[in-house]
Amino acid sequence: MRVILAISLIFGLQACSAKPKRINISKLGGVDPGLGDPPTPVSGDDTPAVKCDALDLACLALKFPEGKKCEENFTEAQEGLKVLSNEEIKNSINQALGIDATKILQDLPRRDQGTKFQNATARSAIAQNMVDNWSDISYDIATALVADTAALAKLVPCKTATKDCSEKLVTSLGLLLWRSPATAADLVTYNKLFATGKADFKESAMRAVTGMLLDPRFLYKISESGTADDEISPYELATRMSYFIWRSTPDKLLLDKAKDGSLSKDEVRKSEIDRMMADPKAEVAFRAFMTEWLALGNIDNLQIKGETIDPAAKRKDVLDKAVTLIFQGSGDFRLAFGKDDKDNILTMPGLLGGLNVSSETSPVKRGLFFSGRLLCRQVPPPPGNAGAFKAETLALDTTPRERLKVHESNSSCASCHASVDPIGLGLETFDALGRIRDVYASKVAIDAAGSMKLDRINYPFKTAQELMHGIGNSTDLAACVTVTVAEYAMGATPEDKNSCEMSHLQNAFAKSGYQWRGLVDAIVNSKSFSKRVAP
Amino acid sequence: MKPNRRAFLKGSGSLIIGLPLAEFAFELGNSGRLFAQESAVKNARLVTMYFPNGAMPEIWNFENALLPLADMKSKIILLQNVSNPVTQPTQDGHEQGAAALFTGSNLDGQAEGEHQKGTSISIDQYLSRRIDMTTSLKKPLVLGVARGWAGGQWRSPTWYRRSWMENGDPVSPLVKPLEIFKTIFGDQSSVEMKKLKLERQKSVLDTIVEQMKSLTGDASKLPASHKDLLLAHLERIRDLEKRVMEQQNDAAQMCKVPSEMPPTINFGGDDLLPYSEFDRVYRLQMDLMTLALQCGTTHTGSLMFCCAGEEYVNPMISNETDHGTSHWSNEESKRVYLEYRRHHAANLRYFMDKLNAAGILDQTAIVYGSEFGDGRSHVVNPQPHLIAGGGGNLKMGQIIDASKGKHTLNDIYSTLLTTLGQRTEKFGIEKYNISQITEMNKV
Repeated sequence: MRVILAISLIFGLQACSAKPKRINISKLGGVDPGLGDPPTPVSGDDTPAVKCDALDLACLALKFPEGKKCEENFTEAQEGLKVLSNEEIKNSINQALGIDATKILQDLPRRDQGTKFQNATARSAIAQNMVDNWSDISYDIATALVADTAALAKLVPCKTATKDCSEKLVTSLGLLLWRSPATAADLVTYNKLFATGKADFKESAMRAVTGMLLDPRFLYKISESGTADDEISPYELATRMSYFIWRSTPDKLLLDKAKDGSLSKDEVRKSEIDRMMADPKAEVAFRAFMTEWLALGNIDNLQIKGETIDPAAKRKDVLDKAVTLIFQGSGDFRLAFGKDDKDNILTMPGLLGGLNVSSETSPVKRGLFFSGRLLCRQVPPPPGNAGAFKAETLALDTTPRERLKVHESNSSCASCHASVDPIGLGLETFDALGRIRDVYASKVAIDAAGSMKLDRINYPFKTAQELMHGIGNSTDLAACVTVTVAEYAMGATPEDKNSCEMSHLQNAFAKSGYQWRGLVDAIVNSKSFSKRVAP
Repeated sequence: MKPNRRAFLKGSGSLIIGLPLAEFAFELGNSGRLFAQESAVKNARLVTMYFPNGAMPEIWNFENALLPLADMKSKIILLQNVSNPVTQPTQDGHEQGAAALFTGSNLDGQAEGEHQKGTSISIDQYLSRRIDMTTSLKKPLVLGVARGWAGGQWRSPTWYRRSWMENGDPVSPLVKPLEIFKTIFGDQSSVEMKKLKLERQKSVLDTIVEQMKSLTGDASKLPASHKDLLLAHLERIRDLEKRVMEQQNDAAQMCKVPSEMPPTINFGGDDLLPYSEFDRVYRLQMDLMTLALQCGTTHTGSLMFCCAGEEYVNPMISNETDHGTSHWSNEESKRVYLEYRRHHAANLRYFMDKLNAAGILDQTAIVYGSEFGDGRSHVVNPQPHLIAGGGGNLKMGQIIDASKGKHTLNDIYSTLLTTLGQRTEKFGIEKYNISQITEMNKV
């Protein structure tokens, strides 16, 4: 039904604009082995439906469509130790302490995760400068907390430095900061620290709070070891859910559901997701996710001669539209990516403007972005001598298409650029700020025509509109979103061994009509989200 | 010698090409400690300073790339035609050429991506091990501006690091001025408050060490991989605790804290420094480096203006990027490229003026260089190098044609260490040490 509707819409448009005939989109979508690949033998129910290129991560989610059996090869995505990102730290502190520590936290050292998501699994312990800095910042935060009488009273209604008050503070705040209940041993340890503040309650509380922030259970999401297929503890599940949906620590209500064990029930989990998605924190987290996924920080460096650009406003435009069409929308998320040729966040200045070199469009950056971020096709870094082409090939009176021809003549360039450049060149009719143009400044007409692989068939396009239409209607785009959101939720990049899990997520996402909420539900209810990995 | 604020503020204003002056300057502390240390480590301070995308031999002179330094010739050893035998022509010079720059050695080549590392120590770290034992930082102050984003994808961290540990681990630079300020001075509070803070921190850290021991001890239920990371974290907590205790002992003679804090910098939505702030922040970093050296927080440092291959652009110069014009193809792009070279030299000039105002220029050797002899086709040789400032037995005020003695960049460092009082015959990869550059040495 959906497909027929979409086709009639397109044909309707065509009748008016008399554009060249489009490729029949019923060929797209689904997991047709495609025209571009040699036929894949299908001998049984457990054979992958498609043959995947090792660098095509979206493909992982398409191997086992509904009806295909696959071995639950348990994902190890959750295995590594996670460290809170700077943003997670900020959200968690503000939420748990009930003060605004944003200003104190703005000088946290930046940490490179080397991936597009800052919440990626830690590969090493946090660096010495972060440890030093965090010690100072914890101190400053605790000082700010005890100076805020109302906020402190909310956590512990005490005025004197008694042992009872110490235990109350550690019990209530420990749960929120460590995302698990304080133990009897914690009460003893922290009571000792509390006592170094002598009889002064605020001094004692300040010391204890500094310690609780420095306690590794705050910065690290520590989990206990177990055997494979064990359910993780309800507190860990609450933690995973809240950092996935809110980018912040779980609240008291969610932790209560962990405490009474009801979080393991499907209907309780569903109602908690309902509640959490309705909370403003979820939209804030969604915006931050989109900013990282679509690298919207790039726009900060946009400088175009003769134009005054407010990068923050341009970024906000993209995020506002993404919220309307994806986060709040109840339809196919691809509507935000040009599925129906109407709305499109991809050509907005806040997005395309980040993919320039100086004032000029960069077809290579655009091509890398579209194939990497939207279709999850990894492109290996250029060879050591890349960029070492002769100066005359850069003559300024040539078109980008002519200049990029240099990639064709060298096989080590062509192996990657052949799939990247046509996408970027296809978008050349959008200028550096996403405005439509037909000709370059030199009056030379722009030729956008090219072809790319979509859903494993060769997809030719004549215009940028056709190119986006193809991407916006492709299953590859949906599968890439599945893999990307899974990567974000699990903190690790999916690999071939995770393809069964990824396919399950993709099938559930498809079943929901590619609704955003459908994917969130699928991930929270997935095995890798709620089960433990064998040590 | 009491440095005066006006001299400090004056800088080299007239020579800087249309740039916002650093607005952060303050009274230099004069704690008396400086002089005590001066005699202990006489004439030895060293800062490495990197600029991106190279300079051709024909412009590596005071008429062209180094024009902003023309009247400072007496404080400079200009090294022309220095060969870099370390970097192979088949490698992408941006990464390997810049890695060799202060190490005289290669990248590991085994590890890839985020695990990429070097193979040997850089000159700042090497000298620091020998002269920074008595300082409060006990290591070089590693600073720089960078975004870490190049060509539309993340490169390995080695693209954005210019200081290296013995084992080849690259050291990430501090970027944020306030963070640097705190590294040098702690915070702004009084000595009494500092003592109280140290006592509080000590008691908190004692508790955390206990907590971490019980989390990672025999009864621990944590997976082994988690435990290893937490044990590494515990080591860092202990390192911090040790320094807190040393500071407690040292609290009576703390470096005088400036009365002004650095301004807040507007980092972008992704917590990355926008290019438009690079120059302001870099100059703030040079101010802070000057203070740290003058105060004796450390005797060594590293400064890095981003961006091997990164698309830094300064609209006051052009809408073309620094890296873009390093592949210049016509007179106009060549001119812009030269303007960027001068822009970087003006930053060095700024740093020299700050050190001069603080009275320590003549005892601070600044090693200034970049990865390419010709960025157009990534040709590394000959690499642009110079030494500014002074110190030890360095014989400043000369231009040396290194090709005459077939000198390599390794020779620069072995000579530099010798002139700064170290008994060092060789530096970096041994076979590339040809002979010391005797012209650099007064003795």
